[in-house]
Amino acid sequence: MSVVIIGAGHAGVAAAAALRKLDKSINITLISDEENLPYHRPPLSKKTIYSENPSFDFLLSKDYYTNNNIKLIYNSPVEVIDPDNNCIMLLSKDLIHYEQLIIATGTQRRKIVINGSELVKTLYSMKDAYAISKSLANSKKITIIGGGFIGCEIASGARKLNKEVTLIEAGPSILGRSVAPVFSKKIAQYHESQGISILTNCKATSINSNEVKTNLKNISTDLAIAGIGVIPNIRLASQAKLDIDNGIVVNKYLQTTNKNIFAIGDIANFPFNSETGRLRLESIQNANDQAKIVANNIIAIRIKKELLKYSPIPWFWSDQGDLKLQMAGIGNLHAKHHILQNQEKGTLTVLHFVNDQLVALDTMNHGLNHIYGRKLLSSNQIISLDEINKFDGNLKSLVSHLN
Amino acid sequence: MAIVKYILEDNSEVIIEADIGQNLMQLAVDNGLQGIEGACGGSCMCATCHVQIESVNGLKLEERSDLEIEILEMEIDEVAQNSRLGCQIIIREGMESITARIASISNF
Repeated sequence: MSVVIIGAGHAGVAAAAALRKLDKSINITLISDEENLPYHRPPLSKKTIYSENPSFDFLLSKDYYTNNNIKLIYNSPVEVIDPDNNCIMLLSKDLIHYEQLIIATGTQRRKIVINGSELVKTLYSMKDAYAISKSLANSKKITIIGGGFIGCEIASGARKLNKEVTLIEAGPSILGRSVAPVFSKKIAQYHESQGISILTNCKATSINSNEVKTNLKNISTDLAIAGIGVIPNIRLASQAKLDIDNGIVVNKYLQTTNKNIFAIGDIANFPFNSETGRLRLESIQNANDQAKIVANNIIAIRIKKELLKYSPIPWFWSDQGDLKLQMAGIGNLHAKHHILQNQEKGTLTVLHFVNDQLVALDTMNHGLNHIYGRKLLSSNQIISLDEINKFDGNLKSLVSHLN
Repeated sequence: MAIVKYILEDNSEVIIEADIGQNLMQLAVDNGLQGIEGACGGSCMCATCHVQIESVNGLKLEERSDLEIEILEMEIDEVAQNSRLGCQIIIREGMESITARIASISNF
């Protein structure tokens, strides 16, 4: 049996390792379009780029791939998938056959399209990290375009290097799509207290070598970095005629519309629950957990065992200056937000309720509440605000009570 | 510097010299040991670096934090008295040797 994995990010690598753990004999080929050993991506914006000599954390050592007979092919973009013949062709025109194919091609940074956009840097890969680390060291005035997690992390990291930092966000608040409004407000206040200038409802209109022009004002800038979201890398899947809709459409077993092809990680659009519908998540939790499910299911099909469903409690984190932000569950636009009372100073826990049921929580500098939250969300019980108030906001007591 | 002895799932042993400041998760990953993933990169949010500490010589380890205990209890079926997250054990001056059994978790 042979399994080919396209993409050596977190999901692809974790799938290779999980497959090998379950089966010592199958052929596993992992194809990377980068020239280096696969590495952890979250540190790029949290740590790596702030050093003039960036270092990288590898997911697995080089020896691991050799010792476990995982064929890691570097620097090899895939040209096309031929689903009729169960094979893929590399850019080099080499053909590789598969019995099962896992697509883990992830996403790419959305590029900004305005005059001068070629001057704007983006951060996704190790290569980008080298370039930004160099530019950061030589710049004083930094403008970050986009107030999502990446933008906020880079803004706070650059500020720590004592740069003059302006963060511009097109929407009415930073992190608007990701966390509760009261939570994002607190984060914005923190960044402003650290000396970052935040401009909301602000759109960049053009850029030249010394300023970013926006609808509000012109910002004197040595270096502009954009973090305005990502686009799923669907070219291969779409050529292979798989169903595409904001990524690759998969079922709860992570199968695409072709029975021999699976998709995992940032690119997979999977059914989450009846309230939310489908989701495409860009997170380590999602990449690793889907990798384990897909490995299990590939083996299960082979030995005719029951397949496992992917039904996660999503979690995510972001480090911004002194703030450790941890998010669990999935909120939505109709959610009611409640600040948990009686908490330690310097922390913030915001609960999201939909139909008076806890669906998500955002925590700031409170790892324990994050973990209690994950326990509550995975308890399969409806947890209302009344229930939480009965325990005076003590999530630990509530968790023990439910057990 | 300290000597770290890992006991792998097949009971074979690997001995590695660790520098001050290194943690038992990264050390295992860097040396290609199976059973330690470090999925969250040492952010103390998963338990894929679970080890059981069998012995310590020299400076004692710091106690498990409440957070570490909660994560272990959430992710590991049977948490032992000596269960730890490898990422939370940092080599410090005065540590001589540590023996850590890699206690892989299974999600299935």
